[in-house]
Amino acid sequence: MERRPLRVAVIEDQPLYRQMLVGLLGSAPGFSVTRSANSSAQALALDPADFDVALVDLDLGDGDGFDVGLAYRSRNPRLGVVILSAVDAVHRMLALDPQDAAGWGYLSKTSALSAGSLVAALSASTEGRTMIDPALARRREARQGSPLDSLTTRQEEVLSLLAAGLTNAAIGEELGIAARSVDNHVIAVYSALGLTSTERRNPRVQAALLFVEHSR
Amino acid sequence: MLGSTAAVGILFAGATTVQSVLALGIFSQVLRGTAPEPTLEIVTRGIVNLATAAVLVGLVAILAPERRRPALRMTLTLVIAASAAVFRALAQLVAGVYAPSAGLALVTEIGTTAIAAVATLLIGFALVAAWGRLQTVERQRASSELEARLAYAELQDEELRVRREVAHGIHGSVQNVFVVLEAELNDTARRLAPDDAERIRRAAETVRGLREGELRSLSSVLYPVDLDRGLDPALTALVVRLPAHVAVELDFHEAARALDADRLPFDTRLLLVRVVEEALTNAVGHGDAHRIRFALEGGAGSPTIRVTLDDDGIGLGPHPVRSGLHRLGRQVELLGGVLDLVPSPVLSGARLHAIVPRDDTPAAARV
Repeated sequence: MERRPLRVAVIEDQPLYRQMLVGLLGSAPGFSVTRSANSSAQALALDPADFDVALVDLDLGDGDGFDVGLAYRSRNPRLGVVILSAVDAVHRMLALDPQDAAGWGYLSKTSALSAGSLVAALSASTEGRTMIDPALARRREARQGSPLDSLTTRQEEVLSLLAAGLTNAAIGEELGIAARSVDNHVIAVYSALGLTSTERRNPRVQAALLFVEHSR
Repeated sequence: MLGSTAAVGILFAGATTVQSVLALGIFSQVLRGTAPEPTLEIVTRGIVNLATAAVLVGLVAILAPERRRPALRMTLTLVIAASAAVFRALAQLVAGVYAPSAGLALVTEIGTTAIAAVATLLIGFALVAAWGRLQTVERQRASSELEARLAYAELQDEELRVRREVAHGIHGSVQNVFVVLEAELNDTARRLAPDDAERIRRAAETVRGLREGELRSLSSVLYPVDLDRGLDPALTALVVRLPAHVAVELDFHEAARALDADRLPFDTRLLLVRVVEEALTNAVGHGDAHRIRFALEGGAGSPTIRVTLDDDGIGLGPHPVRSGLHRLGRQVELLGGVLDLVPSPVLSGARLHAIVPRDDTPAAARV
């Protein structure tokens, strides 16, 4: 049975960039742009029940992308929200309520113009994963003296990919190691960051946010 | 006018009493043939003279000559002076200072009293005019000072508005143009032979560096990132940009959020962000710090906000680079606060310490 295409809302104030995004998604199988807006005011007038994921520019001119995303999520908690930004402002993810950060993604505008990254971000977000642009995550370095500083190089790689929204299986594939060893690395990372999988908060989401907090 | 008339009138009343009795030795006995009694004489004449001054003041209060046109004012002055003089002569007659038969002496008294009263009133007019001029000058000075202050504040607001607009322009549309340009270059590179592709990719990388580096810092020099969102977001945007090799100990979120919740005035917010930005730049840029400890205090109920930023850099050195801090220090002082750069007591480098009052009314503007 063919799956219903994911309904995407594109919220972007720059006409040229919006056209490029709509064009890219138009040719990506499994996605359909059902709503679009060119300002925060227009975006807030949309009903978030009408789409599965929102692709929202951070800097909307008349408002802020996170504010639009939060307004959508309060009306549709299952909605995926991917923030797009021309500048690296990934730390803004830290202002999200950790209980409610699942399903939020952050993508640089450069990465968003590659169909692969865009599709991966939208999928991760609709599947409830917290996702940081892989290109940005790769470039980040652990801050001196932070909890990330104690991780081994391999654990740091695993955490970076986890923060980029990859599943353990995908991380194994990416690093060319067995899924079982990825599991072990993830458990070690949780322990180094003081996270337990039994706590109410999703430790995967927490780990992604801690990765952002303690890296540059 | 009443005050000046009363003051000068009483002065005259007292002086003439003392002068007539003690200096000139004019005693009523000359007229009445009674034994000399200087004290009684002074008291009697004093009461009469003071009563005359009171009549003078009373008439001034009723007729208000100082508020009339010059011609009417002069007439009223003469009427008041004559009335006071007649009153004095009659009072002295009743009090027994003169014998009823001393007709010439009485006429002379009326004449001299009238002259003294006119003099009193003229001095009063002069004092009132001088006071008025002084008040006008003071009012003009205060008004031009207020105008200058308002004009300065307007200029500052205008400068900030333009800065914000330009920074948002760079942040928004210019950044987007560069993003699209970078994407176009990378796309072109994919269609070219490896050598050319490499050159184009390098160009795309330059565009990215320009966008992420120069454009970004230009925009934040113009207007701090996230300043409009509050103190906490703006300070966060500063510390997350610190290089990864710098270990940070941060204790500012709680106080900053409390200040944001209390709607800290914009000017104070801007100044705090600029102070922290300058301190971080000094510590990492000039001081080569690898450790930074930043604390902000001053939540609800505190009258001041305290910024403490320690680093383990080279310290103050013989010539500390503090031109930016010097300028910010002056702004902090204008708000009634202080800013110091001292050796850090907890880390090996410098400590920046600033205290800023939460009320942002400039000290110079407080009355």
